[in-house]
Amino acid sequence: MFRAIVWMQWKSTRALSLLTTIIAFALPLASLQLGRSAASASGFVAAMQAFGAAYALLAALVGLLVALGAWRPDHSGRHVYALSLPVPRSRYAMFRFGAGLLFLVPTIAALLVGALLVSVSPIPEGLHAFPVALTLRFALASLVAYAIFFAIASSTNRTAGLIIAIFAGIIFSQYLLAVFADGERTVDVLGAVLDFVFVRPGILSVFAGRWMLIDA
Amino acid sequence: MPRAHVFVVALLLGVTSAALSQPSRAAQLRLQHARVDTITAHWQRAVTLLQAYDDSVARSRARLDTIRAGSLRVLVAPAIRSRVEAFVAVTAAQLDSQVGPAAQRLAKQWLVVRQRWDTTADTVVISAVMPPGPRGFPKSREVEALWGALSDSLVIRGLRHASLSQLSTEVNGGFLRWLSSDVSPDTVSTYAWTQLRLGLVSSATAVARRCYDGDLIACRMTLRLVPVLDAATELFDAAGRRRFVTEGNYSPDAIEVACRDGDDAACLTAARRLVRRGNPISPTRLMVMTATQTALRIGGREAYERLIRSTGAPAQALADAAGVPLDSVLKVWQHNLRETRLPSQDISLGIAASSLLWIAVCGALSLRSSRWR
Amino acid sequence: MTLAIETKDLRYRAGRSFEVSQLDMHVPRKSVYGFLGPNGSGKTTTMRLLLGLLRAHGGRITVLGEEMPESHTSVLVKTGYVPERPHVYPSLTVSEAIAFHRAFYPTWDQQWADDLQRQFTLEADRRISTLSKGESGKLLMLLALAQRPELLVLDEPTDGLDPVVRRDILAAVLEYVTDCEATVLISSHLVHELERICDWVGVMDKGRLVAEMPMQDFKSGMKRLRVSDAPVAVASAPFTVLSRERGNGTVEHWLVRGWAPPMQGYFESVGASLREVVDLDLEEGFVEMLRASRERES
Repeated sequence: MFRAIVWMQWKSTRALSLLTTIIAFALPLASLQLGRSAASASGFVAAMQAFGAAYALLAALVGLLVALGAWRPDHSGRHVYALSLPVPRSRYAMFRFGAGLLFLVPTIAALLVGALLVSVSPIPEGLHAFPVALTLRFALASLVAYAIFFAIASSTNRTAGLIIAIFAGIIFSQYLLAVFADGERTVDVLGAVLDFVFVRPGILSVFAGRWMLIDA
Repeated sequence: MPRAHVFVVALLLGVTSAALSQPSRAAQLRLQHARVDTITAHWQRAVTLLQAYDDSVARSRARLDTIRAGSLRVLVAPAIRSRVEAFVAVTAAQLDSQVGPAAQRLAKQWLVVRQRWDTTADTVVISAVMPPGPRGFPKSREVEALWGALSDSLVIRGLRHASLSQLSTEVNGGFLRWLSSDVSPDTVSTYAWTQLRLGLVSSATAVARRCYDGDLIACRMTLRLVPVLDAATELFDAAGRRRFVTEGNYSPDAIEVACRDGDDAACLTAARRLVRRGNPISPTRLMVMTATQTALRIGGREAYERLIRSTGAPAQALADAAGVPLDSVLKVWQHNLRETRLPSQDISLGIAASSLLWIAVCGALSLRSSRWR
Repeated sequence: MTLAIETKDLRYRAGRSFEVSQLDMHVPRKSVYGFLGPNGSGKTTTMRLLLGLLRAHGGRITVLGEEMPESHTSVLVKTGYVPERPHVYPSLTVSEAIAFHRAFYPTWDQQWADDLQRQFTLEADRRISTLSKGESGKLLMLLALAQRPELLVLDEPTDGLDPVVRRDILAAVLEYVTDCEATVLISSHLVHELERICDWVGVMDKGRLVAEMPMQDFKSGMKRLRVSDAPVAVASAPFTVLSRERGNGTVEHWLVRGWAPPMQGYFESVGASLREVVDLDLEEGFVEMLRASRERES
């Protein structure tokens, strides 16, 4: 059953997987090119830092695309086929989840290869390459993003709408508080939520920090 | 108008008017007496103005309460005294632990915490009453350190900053000129060490790179702890000279063009010319600050007091503060320079564990995917 | 009589206007049960409730001896389902869809799947999204049959198909039923089609099961009677009067169910006279039954 689901999911995800794999391989090389154009080691590090956001974004994107690809065939058929199969819903969801995890591997591997290539290239004195650390962070981040989006995609429209409504509510309440704030006294709801999410052990804490392939 | 300006203007006026006339010897004598009288009159007028200013400050201070805590004496507006008192005690304890016996010198200094006149009672100004000293002013003056909404962090930070400014005036002038700032015992951040390391390894000066590689004499030169007679040859090699002359130079003259094309003699001439014009190749603020703080950390609680008592050149002052030879200080400084790294390259175990936990939570939530659509 | 499917007071509501209520359905084992009803009567909804695709709001469902939806896994592994609209993944090819489906059914018969594929002339490498309506219908039937189910649930499997394809599909169903004695629940609004293959019939209208009987009874027992001097009240009649309509003079037209020729004597006993007995085909009988049911309701 799992193999059948993997094959079916691969068919719906392979084009996007290929795209993210190419991007993941190219990002480290592109960052090296940009760094080499800098005049000094500080400039080189600044160029590396500029690419930090790109890695984080790619991790989130690949997690999103693979998660959506996992459920797209069922969503388009309103889950009739999946529900008519003789397999418990939880097991079916688990197979889908596991298949998606496999499809993250090519992108992560491509990033590792690109990062290793950069690490063996000449870089300014005093700087060091961290290909494994970067790849590990990328792997965890993409797994976290995948798990989050998979859980949302597996829910009903009502639940997904509820989640979106909660986020919108937080942002809107922050806006209202800012509009009616009393000068110096402000209540930062959004800041508190972001702290909760991005600071350990927040769900997105792996995205915070320095995404540096080469650093001092 | 600041009191110092009043005094200087008054003095200048007197001197100028005295210099303008040239009569006979007796007349000259009479003239000189008159000039002295004039100068004296100006002086007295200036002093009167300063006195009036001091009196007004004194009158305003007279309306302030006094808080004493540890070695700190703080004048505070009565309306905010109760809120500031605890912060003063905390600051005193912090200073005592950082600067040790040197903190006692603050006992004869004043700090002021007053409300800002144009805002609510919650906005305060923290300032230090700076003593007369080597910075050229005969009278004490109040120097604003910090202002903002009254809070523990603002008051503690402001009082610390003001106190360290006061303490720094007791350090010998030569060292302060080398440091170009107040002496602060704060720990250097990892980011600062990283930036310093990057600066050294990519510096145009050969001595900086040799210093990074472990050459202590090169470090002395990099930090300008030894005199440098000819910077163009002592600090740079040929490639460094060329880079020093040509980098960022978008309108080179003939000599600079020749340098760019590989003529080292031309580079030498151009580099010496730049040094004469005052093109800064001084040690960076990060370099001297980190070196000072390294010496203070090595020297422990007594370090600051020893630094104040040292009358030698910066090199000697660093050694005195640390209580060890200068080379030992430089070795520690080098070690920190090479080894201090930003901690976040390797993903921490905590973050990895929390990420895996969230993956499991989301996975479990998705297993509850509803059958009913 | 053992039942393959049984519902008791089944209730379901979707939105404000549609409701399945008080549904007591009995599908005997090894029967071919025709599920008749106009569009929107609740046939598809009922089938989805039976298979656990929808959650009932009340009542009980038993399929192949097991409660639904609690035992949906063990029931569905023995059930072949052909829905109203194709539900397989359109990005797969025919062979990939067969391979995917096969993975879930331990009783899958690959040999027979291959035979059906040849019989239905389905090309293995054709993508499902490019198949015609008829080809899709054949593929769905192949998938349902090749898993060798005990129960086949077919929701308008020949709807919109040409006669040749309809014939092929129904022939395959009949062949399977004959070989394996499976139970078939088949819905359609093509009455004459069901007439040929079904031995039980259930008629659904506006979410209610208005009639359920052996097909023979439905076909032979539905008559239109022309009666004159009919009594006002029909008491203790041996047949079921579904409706009465006034004709010319004293003549009335009765629609009855469960008629048999010896029942003519009833009219003599009540002082009426039976002028004519008109046979109804299944479609006429179906239409009349619906009309009578709606009149009774209103």
